[in-house]
Amino acid sequence: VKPAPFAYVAARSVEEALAEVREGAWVLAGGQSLVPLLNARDLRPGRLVDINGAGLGLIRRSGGVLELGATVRQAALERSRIVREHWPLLAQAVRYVGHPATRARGTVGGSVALRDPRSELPAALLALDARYRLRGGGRLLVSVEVPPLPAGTRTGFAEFVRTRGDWASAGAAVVLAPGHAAVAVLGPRRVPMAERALVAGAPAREAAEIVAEEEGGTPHQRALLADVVRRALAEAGRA
Amino acid sequence: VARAVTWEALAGLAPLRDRDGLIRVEEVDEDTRTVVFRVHGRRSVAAALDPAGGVHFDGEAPAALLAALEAERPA
Repeated sequence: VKPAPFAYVAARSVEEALAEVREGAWVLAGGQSLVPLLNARDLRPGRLVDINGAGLGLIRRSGGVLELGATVRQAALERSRIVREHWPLLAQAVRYVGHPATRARGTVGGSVALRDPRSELPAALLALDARYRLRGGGRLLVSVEVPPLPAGTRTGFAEFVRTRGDWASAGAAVVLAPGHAAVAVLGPRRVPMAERALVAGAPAREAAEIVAEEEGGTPHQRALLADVVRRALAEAGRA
Repeated sequence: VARAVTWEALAGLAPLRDRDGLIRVEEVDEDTRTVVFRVHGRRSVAAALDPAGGVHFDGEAPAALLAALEAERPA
């Protein structure tokens, strides 16, 4: 199926993009989710604003804070030295996103802006207390800022998928440091009760049960969630 | 080692094209003054700036990149 007709605008700067992103317009970054939706005619935008040339493709660390431009490719995140060394949770999570071919085009901003509750990166970013920089009254995501992690932090990410590369049925991102714990599940949602238990020294099995109870669902869903939380915690060093 | 460029010139280098493809800045670490270039979409080269303005590469820097940095060298 081909998309319904639309106007195409290639923005060369954030200002150009802001001028074009108005009623009926959608922003095109990597297109890995948007283009299939267009082809299936699930979306019929009057205008597509391509921001790939808008100068938002940089990974930057400054003053200990990570800044990810909206069009940073998922593959760039995966190979980034800064990310691997200072925010390993993002490297751990992005490996589960799609396939290598889709990660070569797919963007951090696209993962965040599309708000699919099954996406891995929003959960990892929530566990990292990331902030989103929006412009134009929230019409355009420009970048994601991630604060530095405490010394001695360990992180983990785990998910369950029926078929490799498919959307996950359950997933969890964890950040553990002395006196600090963050647990985010796909949705994304933080689980403060489990975080308090982990800070108090709860073992992985107990924290996983708390997450499953808090999130609810069928016994199968709770078991899946407890399993991925246990595995993420094990990767972060909590037995 | 390329000689004496400023941090702004290194981190802000515009994308380059040579006969094998595109060379562009992919990541900038202001805290360590290190830039990672993506070369032809196939490999990455890190360039660290020392206090004297010398640029140290951790791999083979393409000739086009060296020439662009040379052009950025203050007169």
